[in-house]
Amino acid sequence: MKSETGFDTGQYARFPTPGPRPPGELAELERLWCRPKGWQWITAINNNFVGVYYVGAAMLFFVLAGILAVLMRTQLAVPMAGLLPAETYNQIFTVHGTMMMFLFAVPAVEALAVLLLPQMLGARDLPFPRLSAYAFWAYLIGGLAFFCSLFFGLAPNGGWFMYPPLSSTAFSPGINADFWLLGIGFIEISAIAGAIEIIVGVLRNRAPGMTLDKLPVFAWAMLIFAGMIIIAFPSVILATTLMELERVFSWPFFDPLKGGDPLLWQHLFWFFGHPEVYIIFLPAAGAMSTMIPAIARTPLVGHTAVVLAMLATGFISFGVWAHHMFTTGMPTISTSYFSAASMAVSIPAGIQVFAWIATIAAGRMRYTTPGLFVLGALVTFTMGGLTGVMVAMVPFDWQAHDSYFIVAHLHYVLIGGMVFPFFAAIYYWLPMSSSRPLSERLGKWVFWLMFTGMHLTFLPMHLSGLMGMPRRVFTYLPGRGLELPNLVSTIGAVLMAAGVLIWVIDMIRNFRPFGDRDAGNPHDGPGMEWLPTGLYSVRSIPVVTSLYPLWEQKNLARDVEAGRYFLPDAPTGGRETLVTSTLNAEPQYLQRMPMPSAWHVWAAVFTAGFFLLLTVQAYWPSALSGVLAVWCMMKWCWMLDRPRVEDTVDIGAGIRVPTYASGPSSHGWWAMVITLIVAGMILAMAAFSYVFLWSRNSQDWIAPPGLWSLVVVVGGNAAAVALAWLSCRVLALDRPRSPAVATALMILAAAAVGGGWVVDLDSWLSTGLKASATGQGATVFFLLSWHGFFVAIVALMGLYAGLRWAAGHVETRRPSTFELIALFLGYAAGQGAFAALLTRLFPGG
Amino acid sequence: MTGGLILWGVHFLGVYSLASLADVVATADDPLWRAVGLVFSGTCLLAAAILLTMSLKRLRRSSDGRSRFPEQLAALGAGLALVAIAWQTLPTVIGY
Repeated sequence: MKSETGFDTGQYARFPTPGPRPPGELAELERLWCRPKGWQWITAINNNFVGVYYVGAAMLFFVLAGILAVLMRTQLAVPMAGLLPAETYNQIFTVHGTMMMFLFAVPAVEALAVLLLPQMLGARDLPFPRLSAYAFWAYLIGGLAFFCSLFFGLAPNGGWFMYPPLSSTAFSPGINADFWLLGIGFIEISAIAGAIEIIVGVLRNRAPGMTLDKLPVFAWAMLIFAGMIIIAFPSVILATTLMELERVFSWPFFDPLKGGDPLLWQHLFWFFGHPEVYIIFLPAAGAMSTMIPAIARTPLVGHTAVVLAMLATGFISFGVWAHHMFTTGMPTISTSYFSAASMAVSIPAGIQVFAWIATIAAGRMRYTTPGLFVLGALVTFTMGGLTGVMVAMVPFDWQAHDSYFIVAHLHYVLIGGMVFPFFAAIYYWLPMSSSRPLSERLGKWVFWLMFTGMHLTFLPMHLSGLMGMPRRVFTYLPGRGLELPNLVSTIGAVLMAAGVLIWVIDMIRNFRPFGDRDAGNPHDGPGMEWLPTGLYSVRSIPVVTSLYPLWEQKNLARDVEAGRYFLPDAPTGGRETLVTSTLNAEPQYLQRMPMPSAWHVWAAVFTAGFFLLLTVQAYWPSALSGVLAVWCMMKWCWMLDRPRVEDTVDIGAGIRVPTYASGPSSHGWWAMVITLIVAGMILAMAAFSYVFLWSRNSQDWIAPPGLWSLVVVVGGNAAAVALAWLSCRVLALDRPRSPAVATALMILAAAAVGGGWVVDLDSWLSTGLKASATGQGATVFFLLSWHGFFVAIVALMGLYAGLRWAAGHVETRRPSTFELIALFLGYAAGQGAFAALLTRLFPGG
Repeated sequence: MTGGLILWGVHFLGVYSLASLADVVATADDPLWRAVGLVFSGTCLLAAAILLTMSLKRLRRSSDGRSRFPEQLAALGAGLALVAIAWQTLPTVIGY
């Protein structure tokens, strides 16, 4: 096989190394990766802690949202019940849906990834542990604040997809909708941070030899999941921002009286919302494909087909968003395209289901608690998938739309496709993180109560929906045949709640995390997560030669534990992990990992403060909180790009790798590129919004500013790119004045981007266009504001570069910071030029 | 490796954009615009067929076990794209 990086893979034959390891190695690893004490539990960044916190928080939100579901079902048990007033009911179903989708489903699978991936991939930790910890704290604080809004009557009440005009100030004048808009935008930022961590981790932190064909299927699923987040979530961030701008400043994105269109919200929301379903399903499917071979004691049937099916699901899921909009009056041929895609997406899901059935049939299934949950998921998801194909057909959807049939369908898909697999995963993987496994006896009670309760709750809803019961009603009239199905649904909900309660009791009784030992490998799992581990993850990082290393690599656990593979020690004297190449996982360099500090926690606290204070319209405290958040992030960044220690170090068996990397081979570069893809998606969706509103109401659009301003804006941005490139080139020259000249050029580049933005803004202001007057004004000034936000970041980066130079941290041997600033600056310049070209040339004067 | 799936994505966005554009200019199912859609779909089908042929050739050439996996994925993806694009073209053919 051709080498990807020039690394001689023949060197793998040196492992496992013979003989005992020098004394003190293990003690040093234990010292470096030691357990936190006191306040350090809050500032911990090790995935063994953050992962457990994260899963725990997700389950807390699951239980809280479940309690809301029981309240709703109690209200609906009999007709005309008076337990919940209509307004409270509206808040409860909105918070239930929002919490389950945004605070449980996505964070829960991200949490599982943070907990499992490092061990599965053979890494010491994911590449940006502080980012994981920041994402967790931001999520926890934002989520709790969101939930607590219920107790003050301030919870959102417009449903989990917040359609305008219901959510506009005319019909939702309070700050309830703002809680949703700002809260969700904020939580999505946390989800994106987690996704960046997962993508770079899976692609760059795999154990040597773990080529793509040996990548665990769960890691594949998480990679696709994270990629989908990067593409889909920007859309909801844009949508919530536009809605908030409309609510606060009356910019009419969704107001048809002023050239907006409520359908724009639906397009933006569902471009996120439908992939969201697969974003939730894919990691759970990956977990199923990982657990089933272990539980059935045989390799997964059709591994390659399953990976392809997951990839195909990822792609096709972006072509189905408008199937939520079949009743909005879209042209028939357009709905037919979405209908066809919605039917097609069932094929990759079907491939996975058949692969699971074939694996179970080929092996010897054990009906343990995870085994039962896996089977329950299979049955339930298949049933939900079948009704999914039904509602993919436009005429049927017209009948079932907004009825309880849809409530039944979505719960079958989400509970079968995510909740049951997640419970299976908890029972399956918990022995890895706890000194005691959960009780098998109680676990079976949990399964049967949840399984029976789930079907009792949601099967009758198909009927009540077909009988005409609309969703989101707080009561119904007697004598319409709805009493029995609703009563049965309520009994089912109580059974399900009883199952969850027993699980909580089981957790309290048996979950013992953060100990010195774990409960071993009771399922005989074949993945590397079952290797003996400490807080430093694996003792040494093995060479992987199989998809099922623990089944097929003889004595692997013994040799890993004896330190006979890569990185048995800490050659730079700090926390480290190995960075490997993207395709063939060849060792490239040693990544020096950060030690715990409080900056990421403070950054999360102040970011949350910024959004929450903005929600309650405390603008000055909010601004102060925002400034403090930026300060904390800059302090956090200051600790990156540290001075080099040794140029190369021995990572085992005499193999030496560098301790520093920059450019496309570095993990930081990858994170920046992914961040810029997020920004690019927001820009693309904003451009779509601009064109969409033009297509709705073009007669109110005015001519753009003269072409001279376009030339200046594009020229300024082009100059910025050239200056940033020149700055990096000058730094690479390694002359005495290189750092000073490079810094000056970078600051000039930042000034050029800012100059281009000022000219663009001024030229539009001179046309007399008002942001609050028309759809054109709203979208043009949004594009300018959005770019202004980037200009502010670029200015901060210029300041940061200057401070780094003043502190003596700019040097030829450490170009990473400057390269990343140049990358960001180049994107910002491109964005400024693109927005100027779009708004002037389309539709033109 | 994901060429087929990317092509499917491009095709979907293409036919949807053409219908949306047609809706602004004339009607979404205007025969002329549908003809443009058919030409576009035909081009995508041809591209998918070429991708499939190329990936199958590469698959046959590769003897090393390690490099077969990406080629297998590429071939399967291109095959899937071929079927999916044909399926997705049906609304253009039928006209509603």
